[in-house]
Amino acid sequence: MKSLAVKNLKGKPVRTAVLILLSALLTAAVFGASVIVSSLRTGLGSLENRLGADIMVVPYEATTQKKFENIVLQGATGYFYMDNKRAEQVMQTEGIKQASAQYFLASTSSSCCSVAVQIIGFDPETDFTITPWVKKSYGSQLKKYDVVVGNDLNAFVGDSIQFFGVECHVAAKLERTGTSFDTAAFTNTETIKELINTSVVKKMNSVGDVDPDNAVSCLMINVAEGYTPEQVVNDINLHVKKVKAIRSEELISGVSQSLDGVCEVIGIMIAAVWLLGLVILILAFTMSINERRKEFAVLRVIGASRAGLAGIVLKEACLSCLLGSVVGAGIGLLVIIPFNGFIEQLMGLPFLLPGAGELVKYILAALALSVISGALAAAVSALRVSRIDTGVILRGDN
Amino acid sequence: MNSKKSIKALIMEIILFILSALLAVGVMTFFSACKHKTDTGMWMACHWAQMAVFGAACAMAAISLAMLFVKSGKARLGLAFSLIPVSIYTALIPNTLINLCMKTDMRCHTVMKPAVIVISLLIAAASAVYLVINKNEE
Repeated sequence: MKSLAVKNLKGKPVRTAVLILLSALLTAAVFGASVIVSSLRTGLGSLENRLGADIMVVPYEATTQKKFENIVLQGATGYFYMDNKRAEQVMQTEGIKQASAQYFLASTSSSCCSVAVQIIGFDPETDFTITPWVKKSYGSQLKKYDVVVGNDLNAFVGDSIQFFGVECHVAAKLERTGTSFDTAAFTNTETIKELINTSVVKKMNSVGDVDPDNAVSCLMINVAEGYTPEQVVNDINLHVKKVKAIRSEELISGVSQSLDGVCEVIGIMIAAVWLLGLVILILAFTMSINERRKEFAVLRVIGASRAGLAGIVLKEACLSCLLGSVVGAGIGLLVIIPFNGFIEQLMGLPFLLPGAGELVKYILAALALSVISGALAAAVSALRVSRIDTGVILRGDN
Repeated sequence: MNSKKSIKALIMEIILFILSALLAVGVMTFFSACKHKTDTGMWMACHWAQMAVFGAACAMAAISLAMLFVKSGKARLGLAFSLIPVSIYTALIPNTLINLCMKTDMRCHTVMKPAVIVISLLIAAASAVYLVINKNEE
């Protein structure tokens, strides 16, 4: 009976191909959507891990910039500066446990690219947000002109990169985060000040005349015990002019809400595709079995049991769905893995592909779902086949 | 030495020609590399990778087109075999043989490179399948 199911599938190549195609589409859609949702959630987790500070203080005019959240939160290209005096005033605020300044600069053209690279300067002695992350890839102290590059920059340890004509040395490459930090470069205060100065001298800094020794872009603050971030934020916003203090959680909640919305839509789409696929499979099996009623009646007459007939139908369904789901998972992998950068750009949200083990789990789940759907869709037809009245069918009355 | 082509062989030859033509047209249009620098008008390295892929894809399209018309079965097998190294070479062009742009979120990395690799490897796989199903060609 097992070989009969295989022979039936081989004997009707068009019918088998249609079933395989349907199953492949169902698997590709379910697998692709699940991996995208998982990548978005992993990306958000990575962004949350990278935050590290309770509060961010930026110049007030920076908050009017279009991509302001992405600049401070994800390392998107853009820069702004505030006077050092304002930063010192902020540091006087009660309830601050740790504070460290950061400097932003976007290169206009680095070696080969017409697209700017975001350069983030931090003070290794006071920093508590970037240093723990950098330390995973680079244990030593950054020297002058040393830069640590994000994982998606096409530069490797030992390479040289030019920013504004200043040659910098790549000291380390960071782990992937799924955010714009992956295409940013990180360096110490000494180097970033030199780069800002060069950009001003070469009139390539859109802010205009900036004195790098008297300016910072952003202050990262951790709140001391006994104080809440809200208290400190309110205190800074009330007493220090021309700056804006923002809670990190507040910034990330926007990204989190967008992500929840996207995941919900994708979830609904998965369910809709699965239901539609199931209905189409039920219809396909019903039509196919109706056409083959005489074939099953003959099998019954020559001695096949009722359970045996139902078994043939179920085996045909499971085999075609298994083949289709393998093809579908292959298509899903061929689209998701190589084009993950493009998908990330389309989504505009942090996007980090799950590891190989996780991907295998998604593939197995999609295969199981497809085979179970096929078996469920064929179950009704199998039941009908097992109850056929051979006499009526062979006489041609029905 | 002339032999009648099987339907399977004809379908595979058409698939090979479609894939090669898609690579040649696509790399110059819908999955092309980055545009030139807006300030200086200079082309970036990825443009030259795109041109190299275009050249190799045109050669593969010509080979697969020849397969449709060549009557000798052995010659068709030889042509199919030649597609395998050429397609692997094409897959290696973006970023392995010719450097692409610095940021991997740029179009040459996110669109051109994966599209070229996927289509080239599909051509290699289809050529291998062609060799297997026609191994007894005279």
